[in-house]
Amino acid sequence: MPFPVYSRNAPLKEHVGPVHVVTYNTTGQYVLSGGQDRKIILWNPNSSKLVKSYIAHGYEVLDIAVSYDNSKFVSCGGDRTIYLWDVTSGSTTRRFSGHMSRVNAVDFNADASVIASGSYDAKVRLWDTKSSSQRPIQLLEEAKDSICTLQIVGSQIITGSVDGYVRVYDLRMGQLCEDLIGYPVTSIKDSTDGAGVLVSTLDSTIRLMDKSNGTMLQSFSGHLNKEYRIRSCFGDNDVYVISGSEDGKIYAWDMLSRRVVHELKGHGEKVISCVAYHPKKPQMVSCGIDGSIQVWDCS
Amino acid sequence: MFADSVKMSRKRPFSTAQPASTNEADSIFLGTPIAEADQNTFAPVWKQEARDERGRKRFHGAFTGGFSAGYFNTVGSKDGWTPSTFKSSRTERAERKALRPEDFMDEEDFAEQRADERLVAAAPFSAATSSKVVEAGVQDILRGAPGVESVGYELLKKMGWKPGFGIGALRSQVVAGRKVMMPPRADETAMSGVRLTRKNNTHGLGYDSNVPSMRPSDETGGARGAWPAPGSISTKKNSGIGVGVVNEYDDGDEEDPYEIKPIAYDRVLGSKKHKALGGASKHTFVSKNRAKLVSASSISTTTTTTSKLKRCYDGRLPLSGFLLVISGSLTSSSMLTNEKEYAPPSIPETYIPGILIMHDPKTLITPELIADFEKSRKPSSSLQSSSAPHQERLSASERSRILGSAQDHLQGKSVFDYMTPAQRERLAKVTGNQQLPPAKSEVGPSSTQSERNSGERNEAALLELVPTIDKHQASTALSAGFMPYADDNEKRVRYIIYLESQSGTRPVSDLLVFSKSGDSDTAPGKLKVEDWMRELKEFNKAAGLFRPLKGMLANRFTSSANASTTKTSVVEDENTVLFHGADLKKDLPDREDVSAAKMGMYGPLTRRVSTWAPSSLLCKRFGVRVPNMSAVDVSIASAELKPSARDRLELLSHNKLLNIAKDADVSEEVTKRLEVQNVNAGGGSKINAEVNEALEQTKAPRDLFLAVFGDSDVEDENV
Repeated sequence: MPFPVYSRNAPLKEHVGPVHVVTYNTTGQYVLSGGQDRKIILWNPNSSKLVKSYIAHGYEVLDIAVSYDNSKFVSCGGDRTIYLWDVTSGSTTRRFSGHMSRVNAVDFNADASVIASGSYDAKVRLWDTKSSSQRPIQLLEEAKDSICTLQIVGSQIITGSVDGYVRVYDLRMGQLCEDLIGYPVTSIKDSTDGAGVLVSTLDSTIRLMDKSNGTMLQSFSGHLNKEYRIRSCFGDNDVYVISGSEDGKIYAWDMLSRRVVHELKGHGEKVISCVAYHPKKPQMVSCGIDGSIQVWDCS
Repeated sequence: MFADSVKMSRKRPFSTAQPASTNEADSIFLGTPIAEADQNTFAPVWKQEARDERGRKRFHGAFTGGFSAGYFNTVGSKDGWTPSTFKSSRTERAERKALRPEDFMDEEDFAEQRADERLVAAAPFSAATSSKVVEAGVQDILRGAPGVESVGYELLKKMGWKPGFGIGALRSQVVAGRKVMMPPRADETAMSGVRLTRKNNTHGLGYDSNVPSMRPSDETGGARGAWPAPGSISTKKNSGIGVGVVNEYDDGDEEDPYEIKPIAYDRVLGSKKHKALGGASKHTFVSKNRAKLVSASSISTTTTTTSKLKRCYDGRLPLSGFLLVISGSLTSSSMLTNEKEYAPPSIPETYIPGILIMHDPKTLITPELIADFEKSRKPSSSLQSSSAPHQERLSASERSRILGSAQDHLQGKSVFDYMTPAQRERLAKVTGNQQLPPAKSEVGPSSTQSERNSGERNEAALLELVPTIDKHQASTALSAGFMPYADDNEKRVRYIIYLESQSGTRPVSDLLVFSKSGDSDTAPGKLKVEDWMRELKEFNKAAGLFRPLKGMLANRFTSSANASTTKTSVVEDENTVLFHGADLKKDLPDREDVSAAKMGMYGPLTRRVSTWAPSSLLCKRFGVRVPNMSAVDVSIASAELKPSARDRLELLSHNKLLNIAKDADVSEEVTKRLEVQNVNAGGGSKINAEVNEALEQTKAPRDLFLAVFGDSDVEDENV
């Protein structure tokens, strides 16, 4: 399928200040974005219209994850608290606190009964949404530095930390696989087939690692990523690898050939912090530190 | 002058608390001042009320100008002064009321009158007036004081009783050929029905257990005696109804037959009706076949109503196909279930009931064994058993042998088995009891013998007692740069062997090589079992302690004198601490995985797999079975107790070793050795820490000692 390269509508400028995260919901109908202005906005990418805004955070919003049924989502940020929201009512159902510094990443498990949150304090806390307990179910303390990113895939929890390791906690096997990448890991994404992990590191390289034996399957470079957390993702059923960059361009590589196939300019030549690809159709949304959110379509 | 006289005439105030007046010269105090308590109690005249001792107001309104004219001033009543009834009309003239002395008496007079009153028996009742003699023949109960006709007597006579007759309803008797209603005779009155025995039960009065209607019903619960069943209290002449409870109560706390027990809510009143009609309780569906069977079988049973159709309590027949079943009867249970009767299993002929052989599984049950056993069990004929001697009977130990049970050497043995006859005689003399069992001087089981028998088992038991270490831990301890027990090579070897056995490279049974098996083992280098165990415990603790250093500190420290033996190729398992933007290559140059990562050689070198224990709740949430590992419940509480990475860094020190040695309760000598070691290490520079000449020299030969110290005449003793 062709890569979405056209920005049909003007970028959305609802946020004031850098937008840290954009994500689609599971159907791709809506996009949630969170930024430095402590707001989370739910909006329709096709019409670029704002649907709802969620305001409760005390500090910037750093990550958002949507549950499998799209009825709730979880957000985290600088106020060290994890907020569980109900989409329709717009209010916070639960709040989890316990982290000692800003929370960088959150994710749901498959049935939204567990929330994993990774923080600057190098710990991952696993929270139980089903009980009313204020304490996490478990604490993962193996990392030695800030957890930048995490993802729950099936019965695995994958975390990436600034200490240069990607850790895969496998619940079923009861084992932890630590893969030393060598550079601070800022973004991880599990591939669709579950065999590989896309790892962005601060050496301007994105690596595709093999989960089974820790070897590197592919590496992608050409973009600039030395200081900021810039998220990368797969596109179109793992055909493309997409990432933002500190030079104001969105890079898209062909996964198999590792060639740069597209470079898209946008966001005022400023750092593009996050990109998200539509789960079903060729559409993409990106956000940058200039506060704009852009939807990309195929013509 | 006047002032002086005033001063002198001034009287001291009554109350000392009264403050002295300031102007003494002016005031004169006469009389006693009012006491403190009464000072504020005088009200103005218009407030004051006069009340009498009863609290009623005196000085009625008339005094204050009102019109009220009486009642408290004892003229009139509560309702007002009611004049005496005065009726005057043309036909009736008011009657003159006769005045009684009471009209003129007042309260005090009445009180006086009451005080003078005395309670005396009335004329007919007073002893002085009566003189009639009571007739004999009536029971004592009716009699009052001896020689005096009592009131009861009088009352009965008034009711129609004649002395000489008994009490009770009239009975028809044949007197002079005619039937006449006559009262019962005196000696067989209804009183005889009264039981003057103590009532210990909770039945109602008049309860007669012989009367079937009185018997307790089948209904559940129901406080017995709470409601006497209707009709159970017979009103026949025999029962003493109506006569009071005449039992004597010995102690105050008797069962009160009139006590109302707590109501039992599960009783059904009026259910007697159903019972009375044959006790049919429910309809049960019985198929036609069953019905035939039942009717056929019930001929032999006790039910007499097979000919008659059982009807329900309202007289109607049960529905077709249904049969009324008396719950609890023989037919009910078998009819309700569809059980067919099966014959019991056929017992083989060789079966002898009652053999329960509990034996050692190792011994096989052979036919000979069974034959032996049966022989011993076979009951001899009655003729024989009485007269035959008991030689055929087996003793307990023989029986156990036959059965093959684990032979306990001491079973069935008494102390006399082990005694010599001489000892037995002595005992008998001392106690005076000649009936002691015969002494068989047996030799008891010695320790060596038992060891030999269970040598195998001992070994296995010993191996079980070996303290274990985690495999991972053992292998890291092995790879540590420093091996303790530098002074005792043998011990070091044993330590290494222990670690190897725990890490899996050696079989655990190798450890047994060092333990003495039995007293006879006098091989050098072998330890007695207790020492061996102690040493193993010590090794266990040491292994936990002497682990390789972690992280950055590994670079700062190297072990002394053993630097050559450290293997640089072994990857140590700790995490790197990498700060933002730091360059791994610079900070940790000699780490393999880092260099591999830098080169881009990702794979087994950069990968580290370890066990991780998800908590059980987490597994539950994920829908995953808890992985099969030792640590299952890693709750937050335990996680927080885990020592941080910093705590895990252990520095080597002799002191630590010393402590371990002390903990393991090693002998004094070893601790001394270590301390000597310490001193040596701290002392001069040329001391070789490995060898301690002072202690390791061989002792001088014994002959030399004897020659120097001993007496030539000293006997040779076993040392």
